[in-house]
Amino acid sequence: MPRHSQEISVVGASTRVTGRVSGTGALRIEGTVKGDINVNGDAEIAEGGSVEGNLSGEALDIGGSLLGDARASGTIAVRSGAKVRGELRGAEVSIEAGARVSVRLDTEFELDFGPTQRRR
Amino acid sequence: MAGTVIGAGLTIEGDISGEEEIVINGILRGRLTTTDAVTVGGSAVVGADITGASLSVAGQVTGDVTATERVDIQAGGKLVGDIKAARFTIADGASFKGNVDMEV
Repeated sequence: MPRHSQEISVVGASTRVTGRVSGTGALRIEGTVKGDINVNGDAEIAEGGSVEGNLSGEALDIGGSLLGDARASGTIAVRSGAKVRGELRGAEVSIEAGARVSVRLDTEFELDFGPTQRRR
Repeated sequence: MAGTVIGAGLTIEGDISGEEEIVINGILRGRLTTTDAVTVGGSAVVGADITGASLSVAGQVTGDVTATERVDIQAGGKLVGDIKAARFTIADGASFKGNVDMEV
């Protein structure tokens, strides 16, 4: 099927998924997922959506609530109004003002201040 | 547009429940319950008991089906399991194995 990677999967606002979600393609969660999510594509927790489990994908956009770890090969954006508790690991992590987070941040770059800025 | 869409590349191992239309084009193993319509697309492989208002099958379904309105197996669709529904059609080219209870 040629359209696999382009198809967007949606968990609707009044839908609840309990179990493991995996595969390819983008995923948008407007409802509730209880379980781990592992996609080869972008994942979004929309405002009002909620995930209880670990979330892993390419780029992650979190506007709802996440109780679990988020791992992205690309960026993680925590939007205003989002609620996150867990670990955020991505190439780039942004947290908007208004987001409520209790997280451990782990970004994939070295902090190099150079020798002149190093304090003794 | 449907409330919930499980895309062709996606696999869900577990339960889906909701109060809106659900379209499955990917793989589902578990259970599916909704108060609205369920559509199983041509690329879908579903191993789950399904409860909904109606069910349209163009892909493969293994599991028992309870529908308050109707069940339609489209051409190319395959359903193995027992069906409980007031209306039931099997298109030319569809496959079906199981019992049917139309509550007469």
